[in-house]
Parts: sequence; C-alpha cells; structure tokens
Amino acid sequence: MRYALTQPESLGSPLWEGSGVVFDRRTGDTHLVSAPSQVVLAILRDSPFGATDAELGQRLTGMVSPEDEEQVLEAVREALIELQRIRLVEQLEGD
Amino acid sequence: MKVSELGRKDLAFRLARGGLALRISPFSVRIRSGISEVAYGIATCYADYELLPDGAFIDFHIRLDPPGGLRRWFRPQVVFHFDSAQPFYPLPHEQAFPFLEWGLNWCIAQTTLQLVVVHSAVVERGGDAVILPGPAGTGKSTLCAGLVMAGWRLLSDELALIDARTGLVTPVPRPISLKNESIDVIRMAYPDAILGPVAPHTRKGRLAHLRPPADSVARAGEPARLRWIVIPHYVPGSQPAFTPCAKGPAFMRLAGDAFNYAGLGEFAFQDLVQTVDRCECLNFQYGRLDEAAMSFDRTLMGHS
Repeated sequence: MRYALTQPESLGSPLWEGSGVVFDRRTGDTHLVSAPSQVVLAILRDSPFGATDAELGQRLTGMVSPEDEEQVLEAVREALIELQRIRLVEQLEGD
Repeated sequence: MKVSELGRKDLAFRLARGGLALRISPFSVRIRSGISEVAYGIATCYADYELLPDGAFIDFHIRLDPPGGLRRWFRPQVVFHFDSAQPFYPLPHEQAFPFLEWGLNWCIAQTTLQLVVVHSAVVERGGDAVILPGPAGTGKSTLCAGLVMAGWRLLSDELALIDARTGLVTPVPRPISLKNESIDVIRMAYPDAILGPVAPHTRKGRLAHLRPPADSVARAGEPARLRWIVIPHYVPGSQPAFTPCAKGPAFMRLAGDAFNYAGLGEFAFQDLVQTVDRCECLNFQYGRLDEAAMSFDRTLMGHS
C-alpha cells in the first residue's frame, strides 16, 4: 500500500525532540504529533509519488542501525495510523 | 504630564466629561466614565501613565456607564462601550474597574492583527524576556507580581505581543490582576505594594489590581528579546524547581493561549514555531514567591 500527503500539504515544525507540531492547511487545525510521525511527514514531502510502509521503513532504517529494522517498521506503521487518523496522510487509490 | 499629577477631583471631572486620554504603550486609549470606582482604579493603578494632549490619535475609545432604566439604581450595573459598540453584557457596578481591564484586553486582542497575542505574563531582566503562559489557577499572575516586586521589569501581565521576525516582545505594562488568596499573599509579602479597588464577587472570585512599577511604565517603549518559555505550576509547600519542557507541548500551550491564533492561521503557526524553536522551554514548580524569585535569578540569570 502506498501513502501520500493529503493536499494541500500540511506545514510542520522542525524535528523537535519527542514530538512536533503540524498545521493542516485545509482545516486550520494544529496537531501535536510523535517524533516518528514528524519524520514520516518529512519523507513524504520529498516523495511526490508517495511511499509504502516498507520504503518508509528503509529510509528510516538508514538513519539508525540495521538491527533496529523491525522496531522502525513498527514505528512507521504506528505513525501512518496516527497521520491517517488526523487526515494528514492518505492511502493512494488503487494500492 | 502623568495621571498622578492630577488631583482626584480633577481626574474624576475629566474622566466624566471629555474623557482621559492615556498612553498605555504601545496604544493610546481614551476612557470616559462617571463611575467613582473607575476614577479610583485609574488614580491608583495608572498613576505613572502619561496623559495625552487634546487632539492626539486614539486607538481605543472606551466608555463605562451605568445602563438606562432600573439597573441604574436597583442592583446597579455598568456597561462597557468600545467606540460605538457594546460588546459585552453589563456587569455589577462593583466590577467597573476590572471590567475596564478585561474590556481593554479584549480591544487589544481583537485589533492586533500583525502580531501573535498570547494570554500570558511576560517579565524581563538584562534585556532577556521570560514568557509565562498558563490558564487561570496556575499562579501565573501571582508569580509575575512576585518577580516584578523582586526587580524584574513588567512587560505584561495578560498579553504577550510576540514579533517572531525580530524575536522581540512588545511591552504592554498594565496593572497586574490578582485573585483571591494572591491578594493577601502580595499584601503580606510586599507591604508597599499599591492595589486598586477590590471587587469581591467577580466570576473569578475576589479580584484586585496591582499598580505596575513606575520604571516598567517609563520603559514601555523598550522591547525585549524573548529567551525563555516558562510554564508555571503553583504547588503549595513545594520547593522551586525548573525542569525541561519539550518544545511540542510548549508550542501547544502557546497556541492554545493565543487570542488570535485561529484568525491568523498559518501566519500564527509559523510565527509560534519560530518563537518556540529559538526559546528554551521549561516547566517551573513553586510554592513560595520569595523562593521563586531567587530561583529565577539563580537559574535564568546565573545570579548566586
């Protein structure tokens, strides 16, 4: 399954420790999001065709050590659930 | 000329007739009222404010009057007028001075569109400002009063005007609103503190205003660099302690307390992100004012 940012793109804070904030341009709502969600949003901003959870996991694993791969993938899945719930990320049609 | 240079009778006369034009930096305000509590409140709490000459530009034209009809005499009330509008329901007559303060807060928050306005106290020392956001009951105003009495400069008790582009806070030094036990705490700790009229039965309980230090009023034109966001927590009997606060929750605190956040939308988000990003964010627990002030000096200013 591929995931992409909903349009128009949300605005995010810098990568702060612990959690960050995101502004939804469609609704004017501001959300406090977890650190993994901030990173997933940042990666999706640079991915015009979206990304799968595995691809996101790979990008993130590149930032940490390879032995943490399973934990990273789990964190990515949780982040995608959080970001879909607040409608900043959507699953692409046909995937 | 300052308000303190007017005799009480002259002040009451001017207030009731053409109105009193004051420089409440960075704004100019004309207040008209024939109500004696308003005259007393201005005489005590605005003594060090500059009077503006006739013909000066005025940002806010405010009038506080009794309403027409029975409410002028039977359980008397007071009505707040801003320009020609009457934005609030009338309040009991004894709350006339707090009504002026609340109404003026509202005027500033409603009309300031170029800066984010956060419901917060702000104090300064050595050119660096500390913003103290927090809902009622967290000890924000009491802590602000204690710091100001201990020598910190008052930038504001209620409204932080933040310019994210420059990183500066514009001072709006006005009387500090004290509620319930805080009134007695300040009176006991600082016998020289000058308080305005006490309104015993407001929606927030017993309420009085503390006159801001003359130096803070005189230096109202000097902005300060915002360096710390400190979220106060009054815990009776506790020792003063600073602990780190993550930037995400600190942002949500400021955004939740910003009067014009929803109206400014993306602009306010970006400004507050910039502000939080450059500030150190801390929680502060305290139980006693004198210890709190010493802890601020020691931890933030590096004074032993």
